[in-house]
Amino acid sequence: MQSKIREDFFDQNLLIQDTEELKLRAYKCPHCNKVFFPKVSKCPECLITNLAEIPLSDIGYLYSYTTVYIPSKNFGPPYTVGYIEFEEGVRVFGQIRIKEDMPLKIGISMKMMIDYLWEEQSGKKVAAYFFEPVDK
Amino acid sequence: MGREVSIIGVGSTIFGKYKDISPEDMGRQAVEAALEDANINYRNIGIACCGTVYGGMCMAQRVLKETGLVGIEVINVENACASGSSAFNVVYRLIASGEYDYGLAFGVEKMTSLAPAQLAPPDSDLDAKMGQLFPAFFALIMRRYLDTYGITLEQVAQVSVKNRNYGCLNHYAQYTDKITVDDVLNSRMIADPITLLQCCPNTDGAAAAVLCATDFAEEYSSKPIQVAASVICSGDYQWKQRDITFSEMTYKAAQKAYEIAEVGPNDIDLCELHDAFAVNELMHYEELGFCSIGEGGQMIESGATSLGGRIPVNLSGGLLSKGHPLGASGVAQLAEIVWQLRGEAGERQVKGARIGLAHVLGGAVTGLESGACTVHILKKY
Repeated sequence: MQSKIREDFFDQNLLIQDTEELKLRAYKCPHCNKVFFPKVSKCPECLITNLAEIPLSDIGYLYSYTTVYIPSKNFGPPYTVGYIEFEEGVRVFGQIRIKEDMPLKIGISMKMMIDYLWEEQSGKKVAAYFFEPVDK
Repeated sequence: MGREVSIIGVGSTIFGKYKDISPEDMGRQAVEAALEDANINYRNIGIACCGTVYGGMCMAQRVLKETGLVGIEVINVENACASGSSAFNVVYRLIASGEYDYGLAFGVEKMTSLAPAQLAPPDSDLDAKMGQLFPAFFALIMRRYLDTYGITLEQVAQVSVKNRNYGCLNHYAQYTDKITVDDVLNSRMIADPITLLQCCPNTDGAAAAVLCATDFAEEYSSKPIQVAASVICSGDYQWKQRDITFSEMTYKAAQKAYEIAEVGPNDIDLCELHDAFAVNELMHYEELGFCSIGEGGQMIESGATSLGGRIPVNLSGGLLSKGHPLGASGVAQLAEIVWQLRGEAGERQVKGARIGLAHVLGGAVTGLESGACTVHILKKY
């Protein structure tokens, strides 16, 4: 399902195919095992360049969130964003889609999804990652 | 560290929103006020440095060309909200190193016409594409801070109320009307839980300072103020900052400044810190060592950071009330501390103030804690 809109994803370098699913593409240092997202050209600690590309878990937990009432470049108000923390030790900022029956709270599980999130000036729809609450 | 350096003159425009004045004219007003305050012939100035974020090409030269300060060494500095204080640091170091005896540091920002309506990282930044804005960034930090330490919305709102109270006493401040905790909490929601009156406004303004080698300071000023420490720190990788409720770079910069100035947090008589959003002030109390971690809320409630308290903070009104012209703010903080240490701060004067600290934090870069942090410590002789 998700691979269908992959061509419209705003930055192909951020995705990786993990068996059937698309996941966020993270980078793991073979020396210190630290994981990074988005891409780093070398490990900032060890300065090693041959980092392994790994899929980031698709479920993390909600570290913090806010609903924004002023516009940003790609989103009109109101919209909700947050930091999702993954077990790999990476914290990712992104849009949050609210589910009425699952109110946001620090610590709840969140799943990475892909959908059309904004339009370019030409009217072309752009797909990107976002997060939504999920039962663990 | 080289030679000792003093501030012998400061100047500022009255901060506000101005349709009919150019950034060049604002900058010139502040520069001329500082030169006049220092009572120095402009021809003595060997180095001038200007901080601006949205000012565009060669702001320093555009400002200085009508002041006679041409054909000398001139540098423009961009370091987000810390641009002005970074410009000050450059001049400080060039005098401390012995390269120049006299220098001029200033900052200029015309937010109302040159800056975007919503401040965000550059469009190329990943988080900016995903909807990151400065109020959102700090709202995420605030929610986590409230959740972790049980800080209340009322305690955060008290920062806005306090800084407005003091802004009313500052001729240079943008806002000069008082507000209540209810006003703050009931104002328009910007990024939950940050409301409008917890945000600093968009502001036009300029501020300037004249520095000189302390050996020559007494020729010009009967009240030179010593630059006891001038520290810049850039943001480390965010993953190293496991807890976003504590600014590691503020802590690091402050520790280094205390060490250089040979003072501790308990020696500071007043502080101007980066209250871009009200919650920042409480967190910075902790990072600067004025109270323990998680006790920022109790500290504002106790009155310790009000006039007459243990360590008055943001008596200028802070960014929340004085306004925040990005490039100018860092220099304006130093001007306030100079006035305080000279005993010229009028109704908001801290009695017997001898040591002041100024702190700025700014800029968002995906993956980093923040862009730049500066901490300055000034001492009265």
